[in-house]
Amino acid sequence: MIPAVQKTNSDSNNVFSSIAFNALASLDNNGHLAEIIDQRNWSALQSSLETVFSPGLWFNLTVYDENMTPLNTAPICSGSPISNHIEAADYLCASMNANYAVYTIRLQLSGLN
Amino acid sequence: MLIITSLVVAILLLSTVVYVTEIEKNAPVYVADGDSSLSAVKQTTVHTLVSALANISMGGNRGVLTDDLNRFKSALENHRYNAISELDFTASNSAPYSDGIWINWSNNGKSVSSIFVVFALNSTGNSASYYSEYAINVTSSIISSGTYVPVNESQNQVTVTCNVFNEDEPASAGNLTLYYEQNDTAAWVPATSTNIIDWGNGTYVASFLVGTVAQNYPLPISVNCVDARGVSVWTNTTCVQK
Repeated sequence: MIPAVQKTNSDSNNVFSSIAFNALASLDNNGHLAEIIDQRNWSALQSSLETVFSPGLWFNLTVYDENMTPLNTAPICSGSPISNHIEAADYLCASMNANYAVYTIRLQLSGLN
Repeated sequence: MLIITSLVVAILLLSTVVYVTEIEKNAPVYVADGDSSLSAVKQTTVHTLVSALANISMGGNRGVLTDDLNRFKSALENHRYNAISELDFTASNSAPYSDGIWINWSNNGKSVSSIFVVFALNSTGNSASYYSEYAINVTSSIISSGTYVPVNESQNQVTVTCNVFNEDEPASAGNLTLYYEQNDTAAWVPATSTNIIDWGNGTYVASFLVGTVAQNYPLPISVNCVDARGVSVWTNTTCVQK
């Protein structure tokens, strides 16, 4: 099987990676994203992404701890990719509560161009 | 001879232009706040400082500020595959801050919990590079004042107004707890059956009953506000009889 092409948000003109990055930054406003991760509430995280992205977009999100160990035990995605063109964005978020934690979030996004 | 000299001068000028153009391509770009990547780093920086302030204001070790910032720095510098980043930070030692922290819980009704840190971020990506210096101040503060009126021979109603601020803007309180000191007993008594009205603009009016106090006794009260982001501020003041 030929692997799908994955680009990162370092490439210019990557619409999906920009959308992914901005969506994560928006969700993290007021610490909401980190709060959900602190609670390990993966279903709430999936619901938040489904609210942000239209059904025409496919997403797959992985949360890593400071040692880059994946934290989400269940996949946080919306079915199967609808295109071989997949872009990804990395986002760093930190919890605001007194018990500090920092997470790296990798969000893959795909859609029909 | 003149033609050759002209050609040499032209080539020199042209090469200078090419050199300057190439140098400009490699120079870091100073970006405005609108850059999404930089804005995101700033946002995460603010969250890191709020976490440290919440921890310290709840009695945590002051060293948690540096510890948390080093963890953030490590995550930023090591785990981003799309850019090479370097983050430096300096905790402010300008008065009234010490090692970036200023906790001033006073007896005049005005108290502050605050952190102030200066950052320098150098980031190099495939498509752009930038350098940014920015300072972040996270400050939670409250202003409290109160009065009391006798409601009968054995009870007085105390009314306390608390204004909550984050970065000098009205903010929400997550939890307000009040204590009072009755008749110079030097023991703080938790206020019970406290009725708190939230005006929705950072102003809270709390009322509760206390027992008999001496005529015109300046009733000491203590207010603990944990704001919506988890930062704690204590302040003491006295209530005058109306």
